Amino acid sequence: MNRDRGNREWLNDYMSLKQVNPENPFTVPEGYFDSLNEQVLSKIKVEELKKSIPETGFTIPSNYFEELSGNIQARVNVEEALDKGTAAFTVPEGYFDELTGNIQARISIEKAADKETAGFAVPEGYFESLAGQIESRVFVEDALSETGSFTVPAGYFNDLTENILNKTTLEKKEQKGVIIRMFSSAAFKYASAACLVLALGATLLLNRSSSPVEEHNNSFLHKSLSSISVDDIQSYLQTHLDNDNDNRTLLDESKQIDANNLSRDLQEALDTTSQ
Amino acid sequence: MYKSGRHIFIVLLLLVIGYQSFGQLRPVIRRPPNFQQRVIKQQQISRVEAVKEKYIARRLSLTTEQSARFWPIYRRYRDALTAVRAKKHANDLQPDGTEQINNELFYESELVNIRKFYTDEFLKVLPPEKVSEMFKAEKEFTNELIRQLRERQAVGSNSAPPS
Repeated sequence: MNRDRGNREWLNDYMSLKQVNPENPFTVPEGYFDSLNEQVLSKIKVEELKKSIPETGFTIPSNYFEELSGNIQARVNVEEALDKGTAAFTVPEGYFDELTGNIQARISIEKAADKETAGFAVPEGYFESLAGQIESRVFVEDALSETGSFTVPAGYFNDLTENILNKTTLEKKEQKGVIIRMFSSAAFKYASAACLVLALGATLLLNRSSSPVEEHNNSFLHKSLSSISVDDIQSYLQTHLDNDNDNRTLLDESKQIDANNLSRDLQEALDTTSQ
Repeated sequence: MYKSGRHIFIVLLLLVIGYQSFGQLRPVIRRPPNFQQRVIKQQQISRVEAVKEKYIARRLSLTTEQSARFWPIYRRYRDALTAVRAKKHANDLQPDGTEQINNELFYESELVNIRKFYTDEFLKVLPPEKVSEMFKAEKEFTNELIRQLRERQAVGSNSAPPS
């Protein structure tokens, strides 16, 4: 009782003591000492492990990275194979439903097979008489072959080449060439005929309209003079050309006409008359 | 026999004498040596002249009144030119010399004078355009004649075609 009172008094005496928290600040977590032993042991183990690891740290085996991709690929392949292996062991659908029937059928087949193997029995004394039988068979076949069913005619191989050549070459000669019609369609014929007519017509039309010679020949004067004979024209020109020296060659009928000479003379005559 | 033969001889003699005396009575017409050729030539020229007149008429397209006045003048003009040309051609056959040269020049000047004279005559009956057209038509007619002659000769001789 006194002690409590004394404590309270101290507080009044010393103001600084009032500011201090009266609760004990040093507390232990709950269950601390229960797990303390394990914690200490584990800490020791960790320390030991740390000491066991060399200071250089993690070392890499030699050629680790060179073989790494190969190792990874191999590992992947192995895992894939394992996956497949697991997948490969599949049971066909309805396997167990038909299993009893299949087993029963297999048993019956094997039984039948056992019976058949028992059926192949060698007759008694078979091998003793085998050689005699074979010889007799050979003799019989020889006797049959003497009839000569497979015989070659005389001189067959001498004429063989010629016969083959005759057959092959003659057949080739007799072969007729394949005729393929170029204009198989009737429409094509009519179209080509129409094109030809059009081309001819266009040519005639163009020539008639564009050629000055045709135009000249169709003129009034040309038509009128076409009824006049060469002698008439010559007589007229002989008396009606002012300078007849230049036209002597032109008007001389008996003279052989030189094309160059004639054209020159005509040009001169035209020049004279147009002056 | 003898008498009958004498009669026949006399009859034949009379016949021969009579035929000869009758032939003597036919009138003798003296013609130039190339008279027949001249006639033929004149006919040939006339045929060409007919075509020429048709062509000129077509080119000028004259009225009836103009035709009536124009064609007589044109024919006189044509005859005058033809006459001078004939003399000019005859002069070409003359021997060379001063006279031949002077005649040549004279005939050429005559041709020009005739054209001048008849041009005035034509102008009295036709407008100048038609007179000019008439001279052009004459030239073209002559050119066409030369062209036709050339073509026909080229065809007849199978030589090179006309250019």
